[in-house]
Amino acid sequence: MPRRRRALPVTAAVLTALTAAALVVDLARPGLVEPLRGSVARVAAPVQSVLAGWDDARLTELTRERNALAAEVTRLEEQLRRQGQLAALDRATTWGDHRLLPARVVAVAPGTSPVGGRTVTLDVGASEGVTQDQTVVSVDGLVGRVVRVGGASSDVLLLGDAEAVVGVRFGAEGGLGSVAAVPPPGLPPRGAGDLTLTAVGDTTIRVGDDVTTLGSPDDRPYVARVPLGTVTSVDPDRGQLGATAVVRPHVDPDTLDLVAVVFVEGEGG
Amino acid sequence: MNRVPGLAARALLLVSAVLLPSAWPPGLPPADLVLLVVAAAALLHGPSTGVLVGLAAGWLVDLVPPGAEPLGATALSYAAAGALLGLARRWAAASPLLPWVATAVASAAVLGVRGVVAAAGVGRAAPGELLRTWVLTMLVAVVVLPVLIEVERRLTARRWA
Repeated sequence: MPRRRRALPVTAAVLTALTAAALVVDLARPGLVEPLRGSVARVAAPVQSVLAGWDDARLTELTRERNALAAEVTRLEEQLRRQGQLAALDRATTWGDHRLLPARVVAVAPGTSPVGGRTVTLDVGASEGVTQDQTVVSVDGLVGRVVRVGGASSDVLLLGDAEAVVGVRFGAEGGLGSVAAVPPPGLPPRGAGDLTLTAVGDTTIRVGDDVTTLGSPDDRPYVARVPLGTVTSVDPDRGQLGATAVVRPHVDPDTLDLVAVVFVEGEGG
Repeated sequence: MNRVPGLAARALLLVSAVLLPSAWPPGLPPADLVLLVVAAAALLHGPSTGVLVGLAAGWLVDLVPPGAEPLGATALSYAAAGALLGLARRWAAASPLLPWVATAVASAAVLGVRGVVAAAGVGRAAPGELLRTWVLTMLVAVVVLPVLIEVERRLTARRWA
């Protein structure tokens, strides 16, 4: 069948060209494909949350009558642990009247896409009142901000992403600065997961300084005074404008599980 | 010659390969199951099929939450990997080890693109993490790749693909 044999390469070439066109369109108008992403998210969210929770479901399924009591104990302990985490999270939020919506990480960004973004998907979305640019925290500190909201899921841009830049205060004096994943040019390379703090004023950065968020207008995208990390080393002064230092974030993005979306009091949801 | 069952089987394999990493334990970089599906199709049917399956796979990876940006970049990189693997079809029958080696090269190419793009200042990629993903993918491929190739072979034998 020569016609079919020729049709396949032509289809492949046409579809590759269309994909390249879609790439250009997405780069030129980033918001244009949001409805497409949203509808895929609506379909994928239930499957992903089932897959992410398969171990719990299997636990209850396998524990039949004989070990039903043991399963009950496990469940209660898990609930207690989760309650403890939430209580600790609540205590950690000394930053005003906020409501926390518990959420679970159900998917992480693929490790093979050409542009390495750091995003995760949570199992809460528009139906729970989540909106774009809300802060996401965990028991340890700042996790990131919501960048996309689907019906029952939302995507979170993590702190270690190249696009995530957070205004911060550091040290006892509360010096101003910003924290980003990509260090300014000319600085020594950072370890995996380490962030770079750039001071705005001339406040001295010391090793061991606590770094907390500065906050944004209307608390979006970052609410104020959320613990972010600790200064682990200060870069030597090379005459640059702002002093820089290495910050180790409190939250390990690789082992994220239970997090919370921050609702500012008076907001819906 | 009915191609619908073959297309449906590949679509099902791709969708499960994209969704399964959600069940992966957190903290471990997930293996690249999607590439293995592309590899099985490309190694049996050549570059054109490789490109088509690679495009479909990449679009799924780009769109299923949390997805990747810009839209279509992953599709192009998997399509290139599919074309590369399709070119290896001629020699794939020479040794049972060759499909695995070709897949290793293609996986390294896909991860290498990410590494190079990150080195150019767009996005981030930790070399250790890329290496771990690659090693894990190749370990999984030892078991999964022969199974996927057998599935493709059966589809072809029934003239479904």
